[in-house]
Amino acid sequence: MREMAQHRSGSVPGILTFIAADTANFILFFGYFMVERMAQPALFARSAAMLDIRLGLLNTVILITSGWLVALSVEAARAGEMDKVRCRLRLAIGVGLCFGVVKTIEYADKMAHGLTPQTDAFFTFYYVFTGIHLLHYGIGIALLAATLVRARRIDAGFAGWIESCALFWHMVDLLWVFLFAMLYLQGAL
Amino acid sequence: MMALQRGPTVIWLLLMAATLVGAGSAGAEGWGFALVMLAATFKAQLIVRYYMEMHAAPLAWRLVFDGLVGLSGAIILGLHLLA
Repeated sequence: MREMAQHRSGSVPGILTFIAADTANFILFFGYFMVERMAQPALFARSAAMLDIRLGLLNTVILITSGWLVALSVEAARAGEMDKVRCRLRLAIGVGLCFGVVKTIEYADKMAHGLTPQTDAFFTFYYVFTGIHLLHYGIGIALLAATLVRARRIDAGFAGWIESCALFWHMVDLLWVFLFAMLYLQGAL
Repeated sequence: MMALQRGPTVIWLLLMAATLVGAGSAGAEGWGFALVMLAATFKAQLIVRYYMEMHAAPLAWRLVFDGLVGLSGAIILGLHLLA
């Protein structure tokens, strides 16, 4: 993969700056949540136990798999194999869309049980953090869809475009890794 | 081409294995959450290093992203242990 990375387009550092700043912002969210958790440990433990770890785990597998397919799409783009790029992108988007379906099911279930952002401090954090992450996810899916449309014909700037969109999609995966551990798995204790 | 595709696939397998280890450690007594965060930080590092290709990036970018991943894991685990 090292030799592949050397082909990275010059347009990539711009998106890296954005991703670094956005991730730093999420670190502030993590810190804020954990400090509030220290003040109300029993409430946070009780509320976190109401989350369904199986759904969080399923969404983790979905994002990891979609990220893998996007990484394979980037490799195919660098090799100029546009048929493979389109095929892998379709799979990545298809798998990625399942995350939104699972999240919708999860939100609907929580709402049906009266667990809303107003329920308590934990659920306020839960809806705000997963909602902001869902916004990133939606942008990521839109970028992948735009990449698929652009992949219909050979285009000089395509390699830089797909690399940038792939970086954004991997950030969505990266942020979910920590959100899943902090919101769902910490509650299992 | 096959050799090139092996990289992302090996990383995917490692990510799946770390996900199972992390989820399996949740709820365990004692150092259970430390294992959860170790697995999460390892996964984040794999994503940053290999899928985001920071392993081949200039040192400054590598330090920024390694720092962000390390800080995320340290803040969550550190404040968990302090609680």
